[in-house]
Amino acid sequence: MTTPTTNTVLSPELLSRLSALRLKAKTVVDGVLSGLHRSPHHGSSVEFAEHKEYAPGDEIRHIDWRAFAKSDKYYVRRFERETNLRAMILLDASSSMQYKSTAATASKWEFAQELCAALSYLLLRQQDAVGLTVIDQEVQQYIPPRSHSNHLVNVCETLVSCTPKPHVGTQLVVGTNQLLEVFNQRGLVFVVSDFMDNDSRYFTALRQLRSRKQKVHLLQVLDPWEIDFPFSEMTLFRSLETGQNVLAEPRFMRETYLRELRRFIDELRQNCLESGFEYRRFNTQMDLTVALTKMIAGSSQSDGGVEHGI
Amino acid sequence: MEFESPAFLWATLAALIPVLLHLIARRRARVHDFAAIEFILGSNKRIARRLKVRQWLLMATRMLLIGALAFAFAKPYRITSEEGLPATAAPTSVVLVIDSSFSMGIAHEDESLLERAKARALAILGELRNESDIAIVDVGYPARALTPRLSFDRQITKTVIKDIEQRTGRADMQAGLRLAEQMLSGSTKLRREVVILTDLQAFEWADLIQPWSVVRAPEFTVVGVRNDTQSWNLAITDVAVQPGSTPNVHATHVTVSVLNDSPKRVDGVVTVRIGDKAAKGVLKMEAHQTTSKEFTIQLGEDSPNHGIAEISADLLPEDNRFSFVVQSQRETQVLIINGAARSVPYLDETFFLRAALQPDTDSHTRINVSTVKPDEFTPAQLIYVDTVILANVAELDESQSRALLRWVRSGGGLLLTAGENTAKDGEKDTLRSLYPLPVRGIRNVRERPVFWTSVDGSHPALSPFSALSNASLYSAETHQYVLLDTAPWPETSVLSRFTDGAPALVERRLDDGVLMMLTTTIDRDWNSLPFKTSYLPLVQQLVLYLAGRLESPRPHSIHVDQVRTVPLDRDVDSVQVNTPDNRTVRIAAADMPRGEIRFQDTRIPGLYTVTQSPKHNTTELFTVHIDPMESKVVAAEQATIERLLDTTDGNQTSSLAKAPPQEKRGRRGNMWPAILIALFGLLGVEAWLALG
Repeated sequence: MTTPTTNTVLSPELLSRLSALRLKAKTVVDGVLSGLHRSPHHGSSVEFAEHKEYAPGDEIRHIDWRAFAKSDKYYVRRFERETNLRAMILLDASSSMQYKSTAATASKWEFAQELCAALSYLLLRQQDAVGLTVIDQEVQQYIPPRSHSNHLVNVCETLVSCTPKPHVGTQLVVGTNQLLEVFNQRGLVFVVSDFMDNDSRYFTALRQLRSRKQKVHLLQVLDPWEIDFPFSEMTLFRSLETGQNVLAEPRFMRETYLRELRRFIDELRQNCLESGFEYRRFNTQMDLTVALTKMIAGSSQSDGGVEHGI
Repeated sequence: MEFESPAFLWATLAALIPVLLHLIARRRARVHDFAAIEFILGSNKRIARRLKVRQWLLMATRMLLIGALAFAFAKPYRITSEEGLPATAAPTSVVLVIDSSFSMGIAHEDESLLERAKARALAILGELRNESDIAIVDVGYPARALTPRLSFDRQITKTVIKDIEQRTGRADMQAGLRLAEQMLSGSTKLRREVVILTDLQAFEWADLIQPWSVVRAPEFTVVGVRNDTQSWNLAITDVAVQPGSTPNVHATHVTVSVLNDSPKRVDGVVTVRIGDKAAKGVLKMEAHQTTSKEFTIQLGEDSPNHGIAEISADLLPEDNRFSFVVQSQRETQVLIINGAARSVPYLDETFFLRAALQPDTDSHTRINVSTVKPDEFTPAQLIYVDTVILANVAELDESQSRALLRWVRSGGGLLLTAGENTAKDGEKDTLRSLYPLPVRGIRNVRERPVFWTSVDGSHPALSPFSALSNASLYSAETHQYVLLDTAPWPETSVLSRFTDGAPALVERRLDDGVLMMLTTTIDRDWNSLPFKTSYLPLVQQLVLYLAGRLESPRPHSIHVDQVRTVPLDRDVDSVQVNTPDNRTVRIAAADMPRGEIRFQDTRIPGLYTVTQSPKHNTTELFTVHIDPMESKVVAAEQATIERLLDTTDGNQTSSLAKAPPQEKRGRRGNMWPAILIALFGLLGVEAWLALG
């Protein structure tokens, strides 16, 4: 298998298109670096936020005298305090992510790589700190969040260097538990996976992260054939994770499969809704730029909660 | 199950194609690495069992489809256990030969063999193609065609079959087959069939010969309608009655013969009843043997002269009863008028005569002899006399001779024997009217004895000697005799002559009576005849002939369908026959032109009473029985039937042609239409399974 380079992960075309994007997270995080994110703490920032009628205790230096001249009332100028964002990307590198149907232009892993790189780029471009954790059944790679511009190279190299191993299952809980240990500040958590994990404890960990005022995004990556199950001939399905073989007549079981998949997605979405997570579903057949645009547009319009699939 | 095109059965191996395809498809199943295997597993768990069942059903359905298609191409048909027409689809001329003989009356589960045969016949009728014609022949004796010719009218034929009645006689298979031949001779059909529905009774096949003379013989089917449980029978085949000799109380001996036509020994109870007298006994009967048992019944004077023997019932009850007539001994009263009585017995004129007429207890005819001297003879004695013998009588008075003549003319029988008295008084007028021919004198041939010759064998009295050329009658020397006039005389015939041509025995009919004259002595005086063995039968024959009882007693028992001939007495105006089923058949004089009646309606077994009226009002009994051969119900051997069906005699091909070996006998039912219908159903199932 050829090892993709940074350039292959982030193509110039993608990079150019991503440059126009702005990630506007709703969650306001405390950060060391200034960025575009609004802080709930009004302080000594240069950017005016609003006027407030003076009350005792307000600093006198923030009284807007112009406003006083006009209205003969004391108004205090309030400034938004610009903070940097700490985002953590949890990427699933289990074997199931290797799946790529002929209908898709990339495997789920490749799509997830691009998605993670794009997210990192966007965040770093906003001077936000980005970290990456690659997991399968254990943590393969961990990059702590950084905001310097060269950090993207680290992220991309890590993405390229990691490859799903054959017959390795998904243990998202390993990654989420690690996040609980090292990521105790408010921020963003992106979980990029197909979520085909029988162990649902990761959801508990994510809820704990959410309780720490961290915004959790579940980005589910699925292949179009996984969604549509268009098989017609008798097929011997071989599990990418367990190697288990299932000889099946797809015509007879398509309906049941789709029902099972729908039930799974609905359950995941419902859990996200109940837990206050953002949920996005990506089809590897779709254009990543469009998908990101829609995701960000959806995020800007909603104030938390779940977003349905693209 | 048979097949018209059995080669197509190989094509049923194509039913394995779905299996092979399944295996190949399994081997060639596309391998696809898949991530969401859990959902496949989950759905598989839910539907795997149902899917597997459906897949197996689908494969089985497809196998059935292919197999059934090949099976249908093989054109299977079924030959039912009921035999019938050969399996053929060609238009056929069919003659159904139905056995309605007595043995077909065996009942099993309330259905007689005849009913079963009729049902089979109707079934065959229903199977016939519209282009086939059919005729019905009933071989119950007498065999007859129930349809005049081959007919396409199924309704009439069906009615004819239903109307066939059970007979009590035997089957005339030979005649039935000839009728079938006649029916089929006019057929233009390519196939011609004769189907015999019978109980396969062995004797019906024993003497069967080829009934067909035409070159193109029909095909021949024998349908046996009897099963194994109906192959045994008990039957009373004969009853012999020996009346007792005691005048008032008759110890009658009744011997009953019972046939056990079964493969095992049977103990049966036999009952004999005569009026209110009855005897009963157990009879141990060996398999396929006829066993006899004698019963002795004391009968009184008022006991009826008929009875019945019975044995415990079986599947064929009609031959378990046997009516019989108790024969009364026929007494012939003979009056001897002894013209030369002597005190020394052996010198008496009638010594040898009376010895010859001594009653024999073993004989059916008893002769009572009474002897009187001429002067003791009175006309009143003639009332109870059947025959009068004038033995060397010299003279009778006029009243005696006139009464004797009148008695003869009214039907009596008189025998005159010659002797020295005859010669002495030969010219006297008192006896002249009684002599058959005029007496010319006595001829003494002692020097050259003469012998009996020219005996008229056609005469009833002398017929026993006609077949015996060396009878002792011809060796008896006669050295003296009465010479009669040899000129022809009306109503007179010479029954025998001596070797010199002189009449030895002469007969003359006088109105209803007969008189005969022996021209030599009845004792040893003029001849040696009394020392010859022919003497006794000659004397008894003459006496019985003159008494009108010479004819041997007619049998009192005949078989069903046999003709009973009853000689009529004189002046009979009508005859009435009472049958066992209480019918009365009256026969007028116009129907009795030859002095006898021939009664043919003897299909009912039992006792028949024949009454001649009005003048004599005599009554005669006879019984009708089942033919013992019909009681033998053992079926013919298969080999026997096959030999009859498939014999080749020199250059002549057997007319009882057997069906071609490739054709199975029996009712044919095509199965492939049903299979094709089932195929459509299978197609629907396959489509449902494949698309569902």
